Amino acid sequence: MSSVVLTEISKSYVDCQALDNVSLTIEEGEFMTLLGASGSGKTTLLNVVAGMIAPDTGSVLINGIDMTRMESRKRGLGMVFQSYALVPHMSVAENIAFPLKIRRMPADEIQRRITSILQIVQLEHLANRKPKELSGGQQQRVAIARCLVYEPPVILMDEPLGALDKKLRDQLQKEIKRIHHETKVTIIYVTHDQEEALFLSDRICLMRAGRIEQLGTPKELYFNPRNTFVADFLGESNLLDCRIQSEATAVLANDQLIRIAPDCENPPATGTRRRLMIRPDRLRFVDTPSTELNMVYGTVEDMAFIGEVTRYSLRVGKDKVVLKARPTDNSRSVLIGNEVCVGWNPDEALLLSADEAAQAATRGPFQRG
Amino acid sequence: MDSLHTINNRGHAVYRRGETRNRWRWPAFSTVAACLVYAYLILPSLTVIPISFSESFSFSELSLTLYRRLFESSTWMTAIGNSALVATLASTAAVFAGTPAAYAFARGRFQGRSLAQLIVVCPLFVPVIVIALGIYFLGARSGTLGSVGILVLAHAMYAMPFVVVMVLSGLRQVNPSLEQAGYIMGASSLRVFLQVVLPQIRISVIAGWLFGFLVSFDEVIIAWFISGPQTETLPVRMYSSIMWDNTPEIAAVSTLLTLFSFVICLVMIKVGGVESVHASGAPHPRRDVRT
Repeated sequence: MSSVVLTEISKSYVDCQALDNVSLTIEEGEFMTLLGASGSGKTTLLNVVAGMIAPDTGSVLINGIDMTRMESRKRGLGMVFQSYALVPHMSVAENIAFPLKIRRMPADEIQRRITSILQIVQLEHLANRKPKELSGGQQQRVAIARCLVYEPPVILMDEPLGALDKKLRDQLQKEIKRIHHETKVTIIYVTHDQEEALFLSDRICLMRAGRIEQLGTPKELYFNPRNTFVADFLGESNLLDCRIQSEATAVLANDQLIRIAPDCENPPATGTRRRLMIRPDRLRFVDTPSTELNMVYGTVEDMAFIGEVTRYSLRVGKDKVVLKARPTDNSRSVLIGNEVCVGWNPDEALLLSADEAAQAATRGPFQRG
Repeated sequence: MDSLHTINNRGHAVYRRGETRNRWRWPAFSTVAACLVYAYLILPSLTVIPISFSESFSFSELSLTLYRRLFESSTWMTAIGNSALVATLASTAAVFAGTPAAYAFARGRFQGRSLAQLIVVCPLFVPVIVIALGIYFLGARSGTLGSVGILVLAHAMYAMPFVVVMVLSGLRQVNPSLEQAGYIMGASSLRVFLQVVLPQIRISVIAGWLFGFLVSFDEVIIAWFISGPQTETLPVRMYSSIMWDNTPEIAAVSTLLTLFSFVICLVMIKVGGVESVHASGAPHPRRDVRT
């Protein structure tokens, strides 16, 4: 059974359309991430589910019940906030007991549940501490426990890791994933961090300007983005203008002929303009020309060591191209200013329809020089 | 003087400190000016203190006669009792009305909120004499002049803006997503207010009550208009004493009143200071080890 069904939700404010006819179905037990930049409508959508914002049109079904006009306290949901939202004058155990007392559970049942939930979030030893005496990561785990303890059908998480530093964020991501795996609770998770979304989600709903840009599994979004906006949002990507020549060939801006992977389902018409997307880690330096690969020539403009890989910025004609390679991949050392040949396997490049709005707002490495 | 001096001239602190150790220097102009202003502010309150320890209005040898006469006088003691009763009731009423009002102003989204807020803080801006006159007319019409009830009502109204301002400042420290979390967990508005919000703003509420108490205890104009022989409050008694009886006990009363207000102010500064450090609902991660 579907847990949450949102149908044609719209919400506009005086100066903007926050949600524009959004329909989304979240399955039971699913980890759904609403991903987007600020102002994309992801938080508004979450608040519509929570009942804190009433949509102008559309309906919200939770567990098959129409809750569009229901007060948030009657929806029986759980929510985790970026600011933890723990009651400061209550201890960890009292905070977790709070929703149970609202539900008038007997004291021994409350005690039993607190014990078992503290085990799940591994904070048994801190039950009597006040929230102020805990670290940020521990506080957020208490907040998650406070949600889990009354077993709501859906837990909403509004950028829960936004206030934590990188290392803690990574730890808590693993923790959330484990808890989701163990409890099988439906989670709707809001973030602007694409790595977080890719790591945690069963499905990602990428939003822009109040609309759903693409909905799919992390792999689908990463390897098969619907347009250049999606490609650019999830990880770095190189985008090259090209014109379709035939089913298997296209022409780059500098009139160079390249091979493309034929798209059987939806072959692009000859002569149409497309953008060729290549992930930086799929590009490689080519020493000996090979017929297997498409190859372009460029100049190394910059290079930076960023951990496991080195990130090279190249200029190819008028375009900037980014290449990521392990330093050990090439025995030959590449230096700034070198003329290099880079190549890619046609199967690892993707043809995208040019997205005008995304081009204007591109934040990625690809910029027309 | 040395420390003030070096702080005021931080830029040359080291150099000057070395010099002042050896010979006298004129204090900085700002130090002198500040001391003069302090004296200007505090001198009127202090003058009554030496008088209160003399035999009558003129300075003589040190004595507690005035205090003894004060505590033996039933008119003074009745006035103090009246004031304490009225101030307690009025301030309590102001807290019961003002705390929910402040919460509504801080969190509510309703039509006419600014207007409502304006009405509540009105007594701060309207000349007190006008309020007093208005209450006098209302009291005369309803025949309640001279009763404790009308005094309490009038002073509660007069103290409420202070309570609202105090509680509003306390509410600014409370993280609103805490209340949202409460609602989503299924709590009613009343429960959220009583169990989540109120414990966090309790210091502000107490400070508001103390402030209201002080405001009512010190208020003379409204009380002058509407109190009767049975309900004469302390400030009214003091005023009549100056105008008609010219009894020297007033110096002792004034000293006690100053001391009392001073103590309440100290308490408020103390709890207010504690509040700004502890009552914050915002997250502040620390000791981020071992999570």
